[in-house]
Amino acid sequence: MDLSKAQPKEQAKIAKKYFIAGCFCMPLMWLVGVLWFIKPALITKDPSPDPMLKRWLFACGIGLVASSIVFVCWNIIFQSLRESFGVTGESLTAVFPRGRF
Amino acid sequence: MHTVFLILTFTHLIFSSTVLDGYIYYKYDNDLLAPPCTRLVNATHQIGCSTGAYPKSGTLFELNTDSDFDFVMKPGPHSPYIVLIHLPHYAKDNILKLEASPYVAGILVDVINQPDGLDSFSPQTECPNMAGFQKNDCHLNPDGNSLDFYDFNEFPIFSINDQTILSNLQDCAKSNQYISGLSYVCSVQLTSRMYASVNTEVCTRRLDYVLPQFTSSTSYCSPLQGWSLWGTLFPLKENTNYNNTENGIILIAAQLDASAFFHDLSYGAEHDLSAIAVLLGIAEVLGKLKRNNSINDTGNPIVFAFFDGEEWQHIGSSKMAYDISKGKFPLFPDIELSHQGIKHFIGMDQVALPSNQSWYVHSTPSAQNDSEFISAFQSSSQLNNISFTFLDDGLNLPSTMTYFSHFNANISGAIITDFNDTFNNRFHGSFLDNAKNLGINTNPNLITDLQILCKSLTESILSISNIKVDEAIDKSCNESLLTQILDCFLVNSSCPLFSKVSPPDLPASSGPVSRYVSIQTTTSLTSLITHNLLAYFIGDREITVSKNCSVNISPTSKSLYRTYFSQGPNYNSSTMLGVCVNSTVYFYKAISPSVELNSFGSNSIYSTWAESTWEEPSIWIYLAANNYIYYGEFMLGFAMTLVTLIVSIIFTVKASMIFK
Repeated sequence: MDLSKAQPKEQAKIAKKYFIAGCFCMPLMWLVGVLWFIKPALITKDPSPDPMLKRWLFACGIGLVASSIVFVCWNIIFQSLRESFGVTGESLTAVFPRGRF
Repeated sequence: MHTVFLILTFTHLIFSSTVLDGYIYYKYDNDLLAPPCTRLVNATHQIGCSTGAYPKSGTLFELNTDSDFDFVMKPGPHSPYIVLIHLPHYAKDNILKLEASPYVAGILVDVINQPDGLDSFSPQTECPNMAGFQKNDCHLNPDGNSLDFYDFNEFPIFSINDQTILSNLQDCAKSNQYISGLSYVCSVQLTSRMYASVNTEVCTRRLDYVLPQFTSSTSYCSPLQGWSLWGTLFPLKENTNYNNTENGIILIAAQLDASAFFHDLSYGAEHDLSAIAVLLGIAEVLGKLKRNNSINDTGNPIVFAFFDGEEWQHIGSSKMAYDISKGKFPLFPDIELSHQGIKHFIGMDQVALPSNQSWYVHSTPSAQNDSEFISAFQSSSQLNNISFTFLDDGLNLPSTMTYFSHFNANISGAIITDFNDTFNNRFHGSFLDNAKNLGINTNPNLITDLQILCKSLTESILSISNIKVDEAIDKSCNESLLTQILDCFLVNSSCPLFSKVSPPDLPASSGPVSRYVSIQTTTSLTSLITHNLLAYFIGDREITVSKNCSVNISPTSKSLYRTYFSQGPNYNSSTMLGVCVNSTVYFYKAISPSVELNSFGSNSIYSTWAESTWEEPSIWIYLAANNYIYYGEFMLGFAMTLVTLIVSIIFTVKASMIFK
C-alpha cells in the first residue's frame, strides 16, 4: 500500500488514527505518524490538499516532542539521582546492580 | 631481541593447559593460595576491597626500594601498574598512597617472606571492637591504623601465600626491568567482584524483592555467623532455676575466632589462641580431677564457653547474653538461667606475653567489692609466685563480657590479660599475629608462662566456686598439651592432638588454621576441634568400637549428655577401637540477635556485620603489548580500510572503463 497514492482525505483519516493511537501511551505511533506524513503534507505540492492532514501532522509532532522531553528528563533524573532516593529508588529499580547501590 | 628473550622466559608459564586459554593466560583461581581482601558491610559502612564490575589489570611492577614508589606515582608508557610489595613496605601510608595514585590499579602483597624485626602492624582501630554503649576513649591499641575499615572501592588487594605463584610473579616483574621502551610487558589482571554495597540494611532489603526459591543464589550479603561452644564440668542440675549468686554458675570464657586484613590468614596467636590454650588446659586439669574423684559436684557449676564471631562486635557472646535475657538459654526443659544466676564471669584475652609473669585482672565494680573473689586470685598468685594486679576497667574493656554486663551492670566478673592499658601485642588483628611473632621457637618463657597462669586460674576457679579439693593434689596444667595446641593451630593442623579427639573420617588438613568466623552453616574446623577437645577433656571416656558408642548413664540426665566417637591416642584402623566420649559439651549457634530482630540499622546495639557474596576471585598473568603497538595496529588497520575503500570507489566509478 503506497501512501502517496491515497487521496488526501484518506491520508488525513489515517493520520488522525495514528494520533489517537498515540494518545493511548504509545508515543512511537506519533513518531510513525510524523515520519509518514511529513512528505505528503509538507513536501509534495498537492492540487487539492486536505487542511486536516497538516493539523494531524502537527498534533503528532507536538505529542512526539512532549513525550520525548518527558522520557529524556525522567531518564536523566533516575540515572543520576537514583542513589539519593534511598528506599524509593530501590523500589523503582528493576534489576539491582551488584556491588553498587 | 628483548622480546624474544621475554617470550622464551614465559614459555614454561604460558603453556599451562591444552586449551587456547592456557596459551594466553596463567590463571590462579584458588583463593586459598592468594586470598584477596574482601568486602564486609555493617549498619553504616562498607569496608574492604572490590574490583567492581570489570577486572583491574596493569603491568606488574615489583616494589623493592623506596625510590620505586616514585616510579609508580608517575605516568609512564606502561602505566597503570599492579604493584607487588613485600612486608617491609606493608604499611598503611604506603597502601593509601598507592591507592590514591591513578597509575596503580591494584596491589599484591607477599606474605610469605617475613623478615625479623618488622615494625608493628595492626589493621584494627586504636580502640578495637568497642560496643556502642561503651566509652570510646581508650588507647588500647596504639599501633592500630584502621586499615580494616577503609573502603577500597574498585581497588583490589591480594595477598600471595604460595611460593610458586610468588616466584612466577617475580620472574614476570623481573622481565619488565627495562620498563621503558618495551614492546611487550608482563601484565596481571585481578578479579574480585563483590556484590554487596553501602550497608547491611540495603543488601538484606534487596532480598525482599526476590522470589523465595532464588534467594540463595541472588543474595548480596549474609550476616556473619559461626558456632560457639559451651560445656559444663558436671551436668547442670535438673529442675533448677539458676537465678542468684548462691547457686549461680561460674562462666569462664575465651574468644574462638580471629581476624586479619586478609580473612583467610586469620591466625590470631596472641588474640586469642593464647586464651583458648589456657582454657583448654584448665579444662583438662579439672576433667582429670573429676575423673579420679578428687572433686565433687558440690559447688557452683563451672561452665566453659568459647565464643565465635567475637571479632565482629561480639556476635557469639551477645547472642548468648540475649538468649539468657529472653529465657532461651539453655534450652533444656526444667533448667532455667538468668543473668543474676551468673555468680562470676571470667574472661581471658591475650595472656601469652606477660612481663615477669604479671597478669592483670580487669574487674567490674561488683567484683572489686567481693573479697572472696579477690582473695581467691591473691592466694593462687602467692602460691605460684606470679602477680595478679586488679584494675577497675572491666566494664569498659571490649571483651566477651561486654554484652553480659549490658544486661546486668552488677555482674561480678573480670577479664584476665597480660596488658595494663595498652596491648603488648604489636600485631593485633593482623596475619602477623602468628607462630613466629608469638615466639613459639624464640620465646623460652612462652609455655612456662601459659602453664603457670593455667595452674593459678585453676586454683582460683576452684576456690570461687566453693569446690573443696585436697591441697596436696597437683593442679598443674599439662605443658605438652599447651605446646601441642599452639603448634596444631599455628603451625600444622595435621597433628596427633587433633587426630586423637576426632572421628576417623575427619577430612585431612594441613598448615596453620585460619579462624575467621565467615558464614558457617556447618561447623568450621576450629569449632569442631575445640568442641572435641573440650568434650574429650571434661567428659567421660570409654574404649570401644564405633558402633557400641552410646550414652550409658542414668536416663534422667540423658538429655544433657552428648556422645561422639573419637580415634583416641592409639587408633588402629584394623581393630577400630577408639574412645567413646560422653560429655555435657554443646554447640551453640553464634549469630547476631540483629538477624532475629531483623534490624540492621544504626540503632541496633548488636552486631550488624555481614559478608558480601562474590564472584570467584582470580589472578591472571599474561603478556600485553605496548600501547604504541596497539595504536599502531589500529592506525594501520584504519589506513588499510581507507585505502581499500577509496580503491573500491574508484573501481566502481571507472568500472566501465577498466573492465571493457
